[in-house]
Amino acid sequence: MLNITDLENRHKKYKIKTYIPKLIAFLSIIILSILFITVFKPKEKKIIQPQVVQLQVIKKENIQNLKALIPKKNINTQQLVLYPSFKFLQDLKFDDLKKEKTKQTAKFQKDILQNKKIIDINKNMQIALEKKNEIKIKRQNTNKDIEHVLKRFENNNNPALSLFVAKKYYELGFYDKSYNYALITNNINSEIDDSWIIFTKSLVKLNQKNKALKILKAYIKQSHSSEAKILLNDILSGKFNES
Amino acid sequence: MQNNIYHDSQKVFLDTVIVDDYIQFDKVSAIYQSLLYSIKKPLKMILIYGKPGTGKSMFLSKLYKDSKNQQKMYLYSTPILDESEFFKTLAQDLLGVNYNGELNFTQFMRTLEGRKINLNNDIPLILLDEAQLYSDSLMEKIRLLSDTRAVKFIIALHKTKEEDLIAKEHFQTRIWESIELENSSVNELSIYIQNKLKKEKCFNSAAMFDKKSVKLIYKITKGNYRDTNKLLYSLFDIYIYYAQNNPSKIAKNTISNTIIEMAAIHTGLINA
Repeated sequence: MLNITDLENRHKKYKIKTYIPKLIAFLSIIILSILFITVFKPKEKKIIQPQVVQLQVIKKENIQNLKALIPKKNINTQQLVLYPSFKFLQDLKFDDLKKEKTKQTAKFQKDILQNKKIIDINKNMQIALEKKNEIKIKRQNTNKDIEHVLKRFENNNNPALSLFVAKKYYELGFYDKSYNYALITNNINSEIDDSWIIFTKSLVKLNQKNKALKILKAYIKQSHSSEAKILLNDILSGKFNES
Repeated sequence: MQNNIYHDSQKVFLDTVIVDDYIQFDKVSAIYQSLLYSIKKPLKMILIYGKPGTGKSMFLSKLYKDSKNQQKMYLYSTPILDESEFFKTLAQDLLGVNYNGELNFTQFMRTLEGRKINLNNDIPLILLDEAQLYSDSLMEKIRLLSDTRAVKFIIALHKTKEEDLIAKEHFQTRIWESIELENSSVNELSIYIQNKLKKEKCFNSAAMFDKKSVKLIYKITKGNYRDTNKLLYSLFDIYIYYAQNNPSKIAKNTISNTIIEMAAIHTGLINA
């Protein structure tokens, strides 16, 4: 005899019973998947993440934030990885700096390169960051350079060093000092063309134009220096004057 | 109208041995032909075995129906457990002698030896169904009887561990042929259901059994014919109930898997 109500209930229970193993299997797969992701994935992330983050930082950082990056470099060894990119930015900045320098003190730059002075990149970065103090910093460095060269000059009495100091002082506007060191150079070696040029130029700047012309003419007569002739013309034509 | 269809379909799956309903699949047909060939040989015994519901009884019935006119053949579909009754029935069938009193094995053998000459030309065949129900003692006597070559036996029994032992102990040296019947495959089960229903002109019901439902039935019954009959009988019982009380619950196009499962729970094929 059929008892359909009872049979329907038993069937419902049976269906629930059959779904339980499937449900357990499904949940187990999900749990195992989550465990797998949480256990294994982060390890990979730990390796990759610093690099990615660093790269992003490099891209996003602008010049203003570079200052903040510099101390980090010293604190976190992992950030040393950044150094090449950082240098690249520094190089870019260095180019800008060079342009500015060319505008202001072209000759001075040339001298620096001639003397193979290696400019510290980090110091130049600081220069770039502190635009307002740019000239001051340059002077400080130049003063240090001059001091350093003078020490060397005291040791070996090399006229190239005294000429370098004369040119530096001239560029910085210390014409009396440039006059003195040009004279010192000339006393050591009177055949250096540049020492005569700086000497006469300094005289002009010190309002000794006539004296400068007299000395320059005498030097041209003796040496036939073309550079000295150009300078003479410039002085006479007024291209080069006291101001 | 719908209710009548289900009633007719239900009757199809009553678990009875009707030889005319026998459906021969290719696999079974080959076995059957092999058996027909074997019974013509001078073999003492042929063993047909298989799990319950694999069609052993139907197989014997079919053999009996097809061959009884060509050969002296007797089918004992119900085991005769009493020894005296067994030998009395055997004496009546083989020798045409009626015994009112007790007949033991010795008396039967004496009678049989006296009439041996008459039996030589046409050795009678005794088909014993459900042979696992016979006692060990009676089985031993049947074995001795087969040794006389006055009678041949085809014995059908269930295949279980215990019954395998019976087969080994009593018949191993004498069985010249053994045939195992197995459950059907999915395709065979589908043909079985379709043919049974179509034979009784239940075409609408036959069309309701699609691949999916047959697969589920196969999963539940493992292709066993008796279990399939039980399940489908119960299934149509549920269909009849729903047709009368809640017609919305039965889809008309296909057999509902839910109802198949309910029928399986009802018949105990699914333990819910």
